[in-house]
Amino acid sequence: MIARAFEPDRSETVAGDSGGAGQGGLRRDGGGPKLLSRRVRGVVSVLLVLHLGAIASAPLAMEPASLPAQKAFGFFRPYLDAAFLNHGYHFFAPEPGPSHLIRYELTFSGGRVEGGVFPDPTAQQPRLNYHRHFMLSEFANRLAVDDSQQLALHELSQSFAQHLMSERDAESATLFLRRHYIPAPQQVRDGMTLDSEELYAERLLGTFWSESGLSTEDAAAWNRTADAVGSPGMNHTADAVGSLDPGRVPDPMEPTAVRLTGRLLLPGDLQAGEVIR
Amino acid sequence: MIGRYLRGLTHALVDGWNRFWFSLADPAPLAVIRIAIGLLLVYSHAVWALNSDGFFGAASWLNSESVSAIQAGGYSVSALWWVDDSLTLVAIVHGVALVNALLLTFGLWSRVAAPVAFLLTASFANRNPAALYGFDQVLGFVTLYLCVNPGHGWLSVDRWREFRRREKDAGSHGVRDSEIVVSRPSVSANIATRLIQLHLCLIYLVAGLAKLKGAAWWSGVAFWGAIGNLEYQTLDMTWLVDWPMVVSLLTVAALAWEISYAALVWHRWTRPLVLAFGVMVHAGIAVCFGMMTFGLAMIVANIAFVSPRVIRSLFEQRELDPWTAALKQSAERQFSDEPAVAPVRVALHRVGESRKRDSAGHAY
Repeated sequence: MIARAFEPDRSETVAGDSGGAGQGGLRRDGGGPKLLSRRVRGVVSVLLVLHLGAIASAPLAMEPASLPAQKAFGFFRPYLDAAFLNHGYHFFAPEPGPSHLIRYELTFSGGRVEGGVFPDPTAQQPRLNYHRHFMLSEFANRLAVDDSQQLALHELSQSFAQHLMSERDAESATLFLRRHYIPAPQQVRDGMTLDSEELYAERLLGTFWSESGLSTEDAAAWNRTADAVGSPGMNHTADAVGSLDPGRVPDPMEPTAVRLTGRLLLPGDLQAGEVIR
Repeated sequence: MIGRYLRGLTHALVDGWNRFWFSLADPAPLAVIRIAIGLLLVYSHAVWALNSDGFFGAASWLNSESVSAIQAGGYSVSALWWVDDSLTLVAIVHGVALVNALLLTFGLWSRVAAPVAFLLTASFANRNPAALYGFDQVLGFVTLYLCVNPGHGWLSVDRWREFRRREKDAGSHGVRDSEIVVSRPSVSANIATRLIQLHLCLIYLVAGLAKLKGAAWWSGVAFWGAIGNLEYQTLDMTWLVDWPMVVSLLTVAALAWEISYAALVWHRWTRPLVLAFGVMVHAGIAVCFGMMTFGLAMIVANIAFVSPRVIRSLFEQRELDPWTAALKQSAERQFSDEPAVAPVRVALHRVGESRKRDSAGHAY
């Protein structure tokens, strides 16, 4: 009975043999609606194959990706980008990881300093608005852990800073990427709360001024790197955002919770207690 | 022998392909999807508009330089860049988007409203590429497929207007048989529904397979990783920490469902179970993790797998006017052993006769 409600009998539907979806093609008895001509079917079929190939290539091209997947994605990318179909659909994959927030310190003309964090569920209402702000800080982390995206991270951080300064009429903004680790079950059993200070780690994104949008230190570092490598360097930006020295010994403050995600091995990963003030 | 096999294989593939894509389908599921997605679009655009200063203009969270850096090497385009310098023009775009979403919801000028809704959705997304999540992705692909057929043949002002027009044209002759065109099953409805179905299968399959790379999914603690995340939490489920077996079972069940969805949803016996579990998963995400809009959007997309008969029965419980009764009968005929289209015509002839009586002064 229940199954029948979701699917017509095979004998009742032309489409049933091909994994009928409850739609069921109708027969043409009685001079009903006409089906498409062979030529139109051929054209539509080609378009369908191309579209399906395109939307499948986007998740297949996510790292680690095979060469054919990369080539296919490259071929379809104009269509995927323009039509906003370029998604990997890796929800909560490979594992639910820590959250990321942006902590900021705004300095005003009189030397007054104000701090804040976004996203903030109390400030950003309704929930959809909060999630859009949440995705901003999560996106910053996606760039932060990818060495090839440090220039984009710098632009993103600068844009965040300019928005905050414009909104509050501040003179400068210092931004930190704050990682909020998930406690291990045993830690919660032992009394740790989800907002325990031990679960937070930060890294500096940079200090930005309202006039130029680039801190003095950033500008100097940019020039040094440009001189060293002969071109505007990605390396500089990595330095400016405080990427980790790969050879550094892990901080003893590292919470055991991070072992849940195993993300300490990722490039640019954070250590708990690193820059917390 | 091999040649015969290959010919048979080719014939079977072509035949199956044609039946899968080019059969006729009732637009009822698409109509419900159109209405629900239309309402979600209204909400989405209202929220964009609520924080217009934050997401549009030179001083927005994402200015043009940052978006250019993020989209470097890509081909993303957004019509919103043409108006981004003026918050007044942006406000007008918000207004247009809201009105268009309402038009889509009510099914007025749906054939235009659907592509406009898709273009606006893509434009808003490509303007703010770092402020998006699954909800926006679902809105994007569903509105794209509603361009193929927006389900305007049912529960829409378009259908009502078409009916009124045909009734007027028919005059004293009653409603003509040609009015079947208003809501008859169509190939485009089938293609649109199939595309939503396949896209859902792709999403779940990819999401499930990607999870297999994570140790937490294998060890059964991944679900804890979701409920222990304070930024997502809207309902405190951390009491499950004392129920590790439950956490493990929920982890494995969610993973198994996600991976098997693309296979089991096509079979008539497993489909109700797969869809019911999906509703629970998405409702759980909506309630516990604060992603109400994403959960709703995914549930709405899954309506593409629900039988038109079930959908029509939900909306047609009361005593029906002859026209709607004919539509209901046409839907029910799809599940009978009789040819499906011919009875629709018979039913509509009856409606026509009824209309004739009406035009002659008899009540119905």
